[in-house]
Amino acid sequence: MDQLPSGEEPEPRFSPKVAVIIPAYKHSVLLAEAIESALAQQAPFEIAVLVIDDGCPFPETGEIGRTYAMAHSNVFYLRKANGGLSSARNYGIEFALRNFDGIEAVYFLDADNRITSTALRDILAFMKADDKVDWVYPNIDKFGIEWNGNYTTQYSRLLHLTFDNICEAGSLVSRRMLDAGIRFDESMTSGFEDWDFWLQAIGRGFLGANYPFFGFEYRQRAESMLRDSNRTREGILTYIRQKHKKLFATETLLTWEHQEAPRYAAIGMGAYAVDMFTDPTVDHAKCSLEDFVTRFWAAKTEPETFGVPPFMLWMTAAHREALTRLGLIHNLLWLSERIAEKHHFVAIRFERNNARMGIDIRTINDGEPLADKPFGWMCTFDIFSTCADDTSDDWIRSLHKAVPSPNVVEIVVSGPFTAREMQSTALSSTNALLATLGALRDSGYRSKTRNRWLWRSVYFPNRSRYFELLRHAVGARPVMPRLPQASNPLRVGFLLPIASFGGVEKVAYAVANTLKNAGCEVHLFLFGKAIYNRVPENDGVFKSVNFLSDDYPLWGGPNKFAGHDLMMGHDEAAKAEQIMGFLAGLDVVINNQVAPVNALLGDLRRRGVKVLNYVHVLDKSRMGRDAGHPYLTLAFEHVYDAILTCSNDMVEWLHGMGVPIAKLTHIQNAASYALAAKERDTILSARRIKSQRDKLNVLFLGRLDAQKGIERLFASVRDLRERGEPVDWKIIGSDVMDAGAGGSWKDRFAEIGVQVEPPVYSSRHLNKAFAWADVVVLPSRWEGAPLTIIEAQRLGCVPIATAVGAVDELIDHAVDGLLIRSEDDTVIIRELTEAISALAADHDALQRLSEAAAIRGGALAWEESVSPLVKQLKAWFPDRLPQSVEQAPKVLEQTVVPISTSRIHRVDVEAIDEDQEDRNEITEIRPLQIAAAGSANMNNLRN
Amino acid sequence: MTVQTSYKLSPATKSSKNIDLLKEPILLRLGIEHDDLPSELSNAVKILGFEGVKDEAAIFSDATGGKTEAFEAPLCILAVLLNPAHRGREKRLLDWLKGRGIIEEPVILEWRTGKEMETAGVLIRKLSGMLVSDARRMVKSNRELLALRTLNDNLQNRFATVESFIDRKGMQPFELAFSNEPVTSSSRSNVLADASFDGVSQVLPVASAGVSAIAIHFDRLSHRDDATLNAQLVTMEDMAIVESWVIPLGKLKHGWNYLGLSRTLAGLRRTLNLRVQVDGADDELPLLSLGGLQPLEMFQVRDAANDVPLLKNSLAIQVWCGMPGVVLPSWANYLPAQSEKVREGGFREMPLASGILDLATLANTNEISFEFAAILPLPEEKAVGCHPPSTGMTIGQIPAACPPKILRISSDVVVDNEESQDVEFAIVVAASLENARPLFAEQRTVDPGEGFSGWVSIAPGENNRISAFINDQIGVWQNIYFATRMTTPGDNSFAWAKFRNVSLMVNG
Repeated sequence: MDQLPSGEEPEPRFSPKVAVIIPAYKHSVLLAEAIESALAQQAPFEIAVLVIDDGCPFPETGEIGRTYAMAHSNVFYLRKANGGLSSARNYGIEFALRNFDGIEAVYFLDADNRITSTALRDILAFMKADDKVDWVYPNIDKFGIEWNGNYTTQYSRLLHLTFDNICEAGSLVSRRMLDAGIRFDESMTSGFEDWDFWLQAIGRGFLGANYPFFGFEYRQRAESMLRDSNRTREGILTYIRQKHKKLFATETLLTWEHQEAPRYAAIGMGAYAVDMFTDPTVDHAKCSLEDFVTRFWAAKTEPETFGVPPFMLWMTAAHREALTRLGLIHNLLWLSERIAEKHHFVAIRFERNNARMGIDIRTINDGEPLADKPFGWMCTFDIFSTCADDTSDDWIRSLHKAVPSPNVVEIVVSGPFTAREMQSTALSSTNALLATLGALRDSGYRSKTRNRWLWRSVYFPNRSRYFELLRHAVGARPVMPRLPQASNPLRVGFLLPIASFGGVEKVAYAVANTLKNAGCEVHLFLFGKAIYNRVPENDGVFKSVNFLSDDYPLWGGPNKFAGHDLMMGHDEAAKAEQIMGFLAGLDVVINNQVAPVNALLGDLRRRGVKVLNYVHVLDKSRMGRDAGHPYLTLAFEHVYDAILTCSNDMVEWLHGMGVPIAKLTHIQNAASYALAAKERDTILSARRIKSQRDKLNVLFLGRLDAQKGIERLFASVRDLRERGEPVDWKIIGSDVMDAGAGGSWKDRFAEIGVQVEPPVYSSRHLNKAFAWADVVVLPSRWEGAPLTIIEAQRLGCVPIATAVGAVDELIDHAVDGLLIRSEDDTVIIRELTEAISALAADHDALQRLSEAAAIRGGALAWEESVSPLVKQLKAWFPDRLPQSVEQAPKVLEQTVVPISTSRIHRVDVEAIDEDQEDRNEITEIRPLQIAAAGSANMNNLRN
Repeated sequence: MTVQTSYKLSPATKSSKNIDLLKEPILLRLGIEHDDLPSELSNAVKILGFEGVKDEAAIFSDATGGKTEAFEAPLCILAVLLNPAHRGREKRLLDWLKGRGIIEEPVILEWRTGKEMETAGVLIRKLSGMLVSDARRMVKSNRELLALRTLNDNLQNRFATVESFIDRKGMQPFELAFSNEPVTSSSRSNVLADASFDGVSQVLPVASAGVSAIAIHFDRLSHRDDATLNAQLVTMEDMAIVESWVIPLGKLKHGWNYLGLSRTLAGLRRTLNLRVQVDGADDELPLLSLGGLQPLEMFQVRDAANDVPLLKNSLAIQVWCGMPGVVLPSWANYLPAQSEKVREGGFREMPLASGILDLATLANTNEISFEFAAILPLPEEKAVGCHPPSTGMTIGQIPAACPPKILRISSDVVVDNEESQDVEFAIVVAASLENARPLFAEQRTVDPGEGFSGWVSIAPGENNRISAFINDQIGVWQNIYFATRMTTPGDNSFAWAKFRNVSLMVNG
């Protein structure tokens, strides 16, 4: 009788480096083929073959598995209750890790597929040769329905997330990925579990690589699990996107674009160096011009495998840095990209202007030639590629002319450039462009035949057009090329229709400054006229200033809500994709009365952006009906995470109209500009020693229009002058042509002996005006919480105002100012006249009110007012804002807004030319909005 | 909702015994001590005791009482022997097996003294059932094979008919699929002269299926009649040599030269790599023409030895295609391949990859030592240096580098320094150093799976190729040992002995 030999020699311990994991379910016959291909491996290391029977109901699967396990020492047949492909693969992984110490990688081989005999040897060596490669995936060579797909391009996470699952499950996975706990999602039983597996790996920082000669053979039949998966693709993708929300976030995809398929190639002038980036302010790839030329022709030959940036820019690094310094670089690239897609070339020119920054876009033609040599050029790869193929130079050489043959649009960037930045370089950008073209044309790599060398079929999109994948993924076009900084501060965007000197802007700037001091990175987005009037106090507050620079309506739309015209996201005029791209990459947006943008805030919110709306004032229609942004707020309330108001009055109104109180945050207004304690003390001291015999100085500061009660003011001035009261007037403001008022208010005031002075914007001039005045009057018909009252009070100037809007939240009647509560014009005029007359006669009362006003106005500070918002932001983004700010002692009695470091380096106030024709854009936006308001018949939509 | 499992990473329990359960049929005992079972039974089959289940793992005990945790169901449980006093305990085992997808429950036998034959009968019945089942499967397989053979015959006949028709009508295609035309340049170098001994390689831009000839272009020819042009066509996905040419230089002509394949390639599409090397004309190498500059690095002409691009050009090449699986038409003016196609079955010569040569280490460390590395991988030369001692021998080893189905291992052997004395070289394929030593010492003949080249003496400047033929094939990977010793013991100065271009001949 045979006996088992006793005292056998111990066999050498089986120590595989690779485990081939073969899940088996209903592929009982083909399973043998898969096992055989694993057994046929020619490799200088041991390989374990793990057959995982996932509860297959076919007995044949067990027979084959058992047979191979008994016949081959390195084959293991493992059985488990049915749990799906994911659970079977996970089971194999756990078995391999538990039993084989020396495992370096696992390979997932589906039971109906095969690998060639050298595959594992070659791909393990390939993976080990580069420690940045964590998994190796194949080209797809299908048999059955024969097809060979070229997957050979540098691995791109952007492609992998936004295009398709470019990594077949039949990939080699490194041990370190398994040790990091990456496993197949067992809840995914309908397919694409492998896509999810790779996304997990990407999320942990692992990277894949394609091995072009892998030897993977995919059995393609007419029906398969993959085909089933594609039928339910959208549902599965929704699950994947939700699960990996952070990977699909715009900033993540943008970062990958920057690293893997940069959007812009900035070709150095004279340096023979090329910078390739999406965001030029972040570390990026560089190469020599020679390398670039090679890549260019490689991209022309095999566009799915090799790529170059799709937009080419000729501009010196110094000029790019100048734009970066002014916070304009991203916006300029974004605009240039938008324009370059519709025109042949974009010329870029700088203009020096210390008073404002702005963008002017001009189409070049005989009537409007290029004014000067451009500082830079941009065009698409496609245009340049066509030029490189062209045999004639004439067309492109005309870029030297004032009116070139190509279709050219010029972007004129104005701003406070330094004299040095305005100087031209020794080599012009036009010459650099033509020299680049010459380098490409003369290159030996230039191919005339255009033979394709890669024989596998094209599957991937053009490598130079990954920016389109990004656009599609984030629903935006173009996408603002701004990446998060390394420290990843919270990025807050302030949306404004225009950037002039109105109250809405002043509040937005003040809140922005406070958020910046709290650790946020704040950006300004202007949807209307592409001009930012510089306020010296705000220099350095905004990391960037961004102009939409397009024909964009600031009010109106084809839809109706409570008598208001409004825009919806699907309306063409909403320019949904463009606005989404404009605002891409923000964590928080605060809409400050940009009406149509409300239509897109829902999309932003769905992408994880926190959406806030700042409401200031309830306007009145011409017929006296309440109207304006508070009503739009009701229409879009659903999309706001929070609504900020400048008054308790507005909180109560919105709450009363159905907005949950939890969404409402009151931000108490404070003075819009900082004032040094010494300067304030000097002004207050001067006021105290003013002679009782002096006349009463009365100031009006504001627009000369109906909202501000200009008729009331006029009547009161006239009455007081007729009565010969000891009053001196200073009326400062922009004149508004008002047909109803019978012409210019400036002229009418002149007729009664009062000269209207032009508006003032700088803090110095405002201080001067408030220091002069004993009293400031605001006989307005409607208001929010006027900054003028707070700024006047701070300097002891007594306000006399109609009690509209939240004015009575700023003035305690007869304590720190005087309130007129009537709504009747005649009564208001009489009370205003009497109040001024009384104060002119009672110096002690004036003094008492002045002292109380100074205390009240000086007690308000933005840090205190904005603290509820900061607290909310910290709750939403607990890791993104420094906690130390919260712990800093609060200065409740602070009389001076601290001057931030960034404010120290201000351009001299004198540099601003206040007589610019567009200094009062408030008057420009009004008729536009009134016209657009349609049924609302708005008188005024601004505070 | 995500229900992804959380995993304990690499649990500590690792046991080869656990794996053993997955490799052979076993008997389980439940409530029975191992020594209570007859030794005849435990000698015939592995018997393990089932002790219970803890944390999803079954606990099994062996003959010595040692415990093993098992997470997976044993491969084949012949039966469970149950102590009647422990009746009911088997449910725990059956539940555990069920949790692992085992639908068919194992046979439970109550073990009673004096009823051993009854138990043996049940086991025999089960085994005979398995035998019958296997026999039926084999018969079924034979029938399926028969059907496939018949189908193959039918296809063969049909194909023959089509082939003769096409041949008779002269309809066989032979078409230019790709052409990279030669580019002349006064400054160009001779790429064959710049390459190492292995010559140059070029990845081809056309898939293998349908390829019937490759044309290469010469600007200038060599007049050395004894020299040959050696070319190989290799598929990159499995490194198989699909065709070879050995052509006397005298047969080459100025311009295009067509290397015709024995048959137009058929089967799955793969990437082809053409290797070209010239033997015996070191001083007057022909001038192989180049195409224009190639921006795709993968397609730049490379040194065959190390796969590094030699120039930024591709070779000037043409790829001609025909009808897959058939010989080229008689009118095609081509240089025939040296061998019949060996892709499907037959013998294949496979080079040992440079990466594997890197694994070479000194084996007999207890016998010799040098101040420098006695065994030195030289990947650039596709070689391993093996410095002989003044007396005795230096043995190098490459573990598990020799796969099953190997017929022969071969290597060029050279002494790469003129000042050296003669050196003897030998190669052994064996499972261990202990097995290799007596072969090197020529004290015994080879066992199955082993090979020995015998000792070959080489003088400096000589180039010889030695081969070790494997005696019978066994299904396991073996180690490769290579050794050098001085032909005349004594002076081993400058004995730069190298094994170069190691290759394996594979069957199938």
